[in-house]
Amino acid sequence: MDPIIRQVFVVHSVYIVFVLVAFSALCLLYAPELAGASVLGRFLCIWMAVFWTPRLIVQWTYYDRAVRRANPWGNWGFTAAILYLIVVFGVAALGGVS
Amino acid sequence: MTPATIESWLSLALWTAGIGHFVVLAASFQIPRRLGWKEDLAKLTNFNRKLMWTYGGFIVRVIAVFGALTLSLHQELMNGDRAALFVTGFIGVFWLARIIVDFVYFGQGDWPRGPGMVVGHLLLTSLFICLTSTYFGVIAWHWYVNQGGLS
Repeated sequence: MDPIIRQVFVVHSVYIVFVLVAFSALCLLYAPELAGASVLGRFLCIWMAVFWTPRLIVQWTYYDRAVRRANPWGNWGFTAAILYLIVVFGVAALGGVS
Repeated sequence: MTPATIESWLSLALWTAGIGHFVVLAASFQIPRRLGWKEDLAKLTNFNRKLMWTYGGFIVRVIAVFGALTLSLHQELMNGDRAALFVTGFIGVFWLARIIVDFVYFGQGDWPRGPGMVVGHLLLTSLFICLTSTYFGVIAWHWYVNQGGLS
C-alpha cells in the first residue's frame, strides 16, 4: 500500500478521536448552552445528532454482517450508545425538555 | 489601525474562512482519484476498506459543518461568548494540527509527483495557515477586548 494512504488513514482516525473529545468537552463544559440557551448550542446539538445518525446507518447497512455477528456485544453496545446520543442531541436540538 | 478596523478585518476573514472550508472540500473530493484509493484500498480487508471510507466521509462532514457554522453563526463567533470561543478554538486547533501533520508526519517524498500536485499541496497548506490564523485571530481579539484593550 502507498505510504501516503496509510498515513491518511491514521490521520483520519486521530481526527475522529479529536472530534469526539471535543464533543465530550462541549457536553461537560457547556451543557446549558447545548440545552437550548443559545443559537450556537442548538446548532451544535443538530450537528451532533446528524453526526451520529449516519454512524448508526453505516453500522447496520455498510459494515460487514460477519463482523457484527462475530461481535454481538460490541454491535448492540455501539447501537445503544449511538441511539442514546441521537435521542439526547435530537431532543436538545428541538428545544430541550423545559 | 483602530479596534473597529481590526474587528471589520476579522469579520471579513471569518466570512472568507467559512467559504475556505468548502474550497478544502472541493480539493478533498479529488484526493481518492489522484491518490489512487480504489486500487490501493482494494488490498485491504473488506472491513478495513469500509472503515477507511467511513472515516473519510466523517471528516468531510466535519469540515462541511465548520464551514456552515462559520457562515451561519458568524455573528455569534464574532460576539465570542464562552461556547463560541470554545468552538472557534477547536476549529483553530483542528487546522493547526493539520499543518503540523503535513510538516511532521506526511513525508514530502510520499506525495505523488508532478507540478500539479506541488502547486495544489502548496495552495492547500496556505489555506490551512489562513484558516488557523483566522480562528486564532478571533480568539486573540476577544482576549484583547476582555483584557480591557478597548478602554
